[in-house]
Amino acid sequence: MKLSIRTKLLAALGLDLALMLILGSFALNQMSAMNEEATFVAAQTIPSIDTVNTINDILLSYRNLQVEYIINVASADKLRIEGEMHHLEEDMAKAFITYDHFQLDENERATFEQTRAGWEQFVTATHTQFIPSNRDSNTGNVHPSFSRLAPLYDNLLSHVRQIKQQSQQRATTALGRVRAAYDASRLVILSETTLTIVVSAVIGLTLSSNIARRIRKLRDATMAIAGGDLNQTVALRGSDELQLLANNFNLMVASLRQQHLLLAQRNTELSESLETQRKLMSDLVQRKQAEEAADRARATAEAASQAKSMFLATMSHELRTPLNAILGYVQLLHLEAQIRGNTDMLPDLERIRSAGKHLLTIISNILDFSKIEQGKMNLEIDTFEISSVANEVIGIFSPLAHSRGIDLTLICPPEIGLMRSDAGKVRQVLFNLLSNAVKFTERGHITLTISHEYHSGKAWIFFSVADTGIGINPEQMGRLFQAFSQVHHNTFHHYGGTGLGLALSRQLCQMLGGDITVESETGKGSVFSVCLPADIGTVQATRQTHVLHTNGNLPRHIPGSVPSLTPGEETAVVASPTSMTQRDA
Amino acid sequence: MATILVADDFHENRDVLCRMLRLVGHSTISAANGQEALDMAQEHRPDLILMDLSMPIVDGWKATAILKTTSDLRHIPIIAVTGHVTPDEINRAISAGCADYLAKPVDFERLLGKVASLLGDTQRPPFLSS
Repeated sequence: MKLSIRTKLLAALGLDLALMLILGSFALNQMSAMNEEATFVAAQTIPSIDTVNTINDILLSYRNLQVEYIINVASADKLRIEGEMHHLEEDMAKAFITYDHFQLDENERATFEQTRAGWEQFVTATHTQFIPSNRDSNTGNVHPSFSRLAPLYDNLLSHVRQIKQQSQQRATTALGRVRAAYDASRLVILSETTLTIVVSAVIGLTLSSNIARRIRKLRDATMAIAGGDLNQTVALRGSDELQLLANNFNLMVASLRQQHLLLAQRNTELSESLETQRKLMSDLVQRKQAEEAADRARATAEAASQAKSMFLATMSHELRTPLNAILGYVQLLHLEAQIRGNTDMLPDLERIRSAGKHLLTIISNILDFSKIEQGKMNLEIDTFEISSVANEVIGIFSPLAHSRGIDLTLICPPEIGLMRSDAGKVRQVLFNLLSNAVKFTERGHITLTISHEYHSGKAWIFFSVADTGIGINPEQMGRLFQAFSQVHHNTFHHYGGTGLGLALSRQLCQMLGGDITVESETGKGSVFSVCLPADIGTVQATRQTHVLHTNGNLPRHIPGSVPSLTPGEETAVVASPTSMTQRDA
Repeated sequence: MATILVADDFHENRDVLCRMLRLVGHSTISAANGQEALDMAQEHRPDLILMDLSMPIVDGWKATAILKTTSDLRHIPIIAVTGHVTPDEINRAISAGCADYLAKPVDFERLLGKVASLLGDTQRPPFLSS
């Protein structure tokens, strides 16, 4: 069935209605037929019977008056009876008129005409024969004329009876039709009512059981799905609302199934993600632990570094105490030898003193490093004359250089002027450089050149120490400014030193906002160039908190702050070297 | 010449300093710790004190502080003699009341210069002029 339930229900209702209508119209029809028959009986049959009876009565009365007419002898009675007869004739005429107006069939009309003709013949015979012959007779005997009327009267009476019979017959027929109509309509109404009930019941039962069966399927399916069986589908035939419901239900189940699959997939992804997250978390924890371990290691290293610095400071102090005695006794011996004239002792005493001084320098350098490491190296900024610092340092090394046959020259333009920095540190750096130069140059020249240049809008002072020593090869150059790094051990044995001087000098230069660089060629000599801001205030603030890395590596340059040194910028430099010395601190 | 008290817990250092000072004509007395230094100062009223800072019993900083709060001794100038040459340590000595300081190892000429300047004696010994 390709019809909707609504349509089916409406169709069933329509069918019932149609049956009802047919039933009703048929009943109405039967009723009206019955009504018609009844009306006919009421309007025609009954009055016509009454009229026939009247005619019969008038006829009987008329005959009786004829008898009285004979019997009564008095003329007055005869006249009264004649009058009464006349009245009856008029009544009869009225009855005939009445009857003539009824709807009559052919037989009835023929009988009626015979009756009327028979009556007129009878009345005529009465007036022409009976009354004249009996008006004057008063014998009281039956006049033969009365007997002569008898055949007319009998004929007439038989006609009246016939009419009466016909009217009776007609009424009976009409009533029979009414009864028949009643019977027929009762039968039809009963059968049609039964049919309607049966049809309605069949349709209702069929529809309801069909719908119930399909709804049961749906119910079973929903219960199955509620129980978790998502593979359930409902197969309903037809294209009604239930089928649409089933289709939608199947779609819903399909969607649910898809959602369920999706959910399961999501669930898998989620658990994978959780697993990843857990791994990440454990990685994080491990990393965190590693970081903590690194922190602990760093703290330990810092503590160790601190301990080292403390140790160096303490050692520096502890070493100075016996050194104080050694150098003090040497000075005393020196004085006593001078006073007593024991001049042959003087060179040895001088060697002891020199070695002691060297030891002191080493101790001082160690202490300076520990100060820098601890951030305790303070700058004492002041304005000073560059030439006086240079002259002072040259003055210290002149006797030694002279005694070794080396030319020590200072090239300093007279207009070089003032500098604002830490004079002590500048002096220390120049001292270190010249000390190295003197220590490692056996012959030739040492020149300290000072110049004044502008770079990046700032004034810079260049100190350049050039010697004719043996120079430094490129491999050694990389480690030159590293603390505690001798260029090689032989050098240490030849010339002494801890490898601290250059590293310390670079630290000091960087603290002063500048840097130190070296250019050298093995066998030809070296040029150490120090570049410092003329006014430390124009560069960045002091770097007293700068801390050495534990491996002693120092930055080669402070990017953008210190001008690079090129050979062209050296104004007075390397004299022709003959014998070169390796450089060290 | 003056009487100078040399306080140092290291015997050789006391000896060297005393002999240097006696070379130029001063008379010296010595103490091996801060407490001794306080006692000697009280007893001998020296003109000058050379005070080592790291000493047992009573250290140099404390002895200096005590001397500077003792009314009849506070006028005596004190020179700190120390192996601690960091600015912190020097400041500590100066703020304790030392008039000057000498870093170990002590240079003979520098010692005599500082002593002479605190005693108001600018004359240099004749043998040093060479």
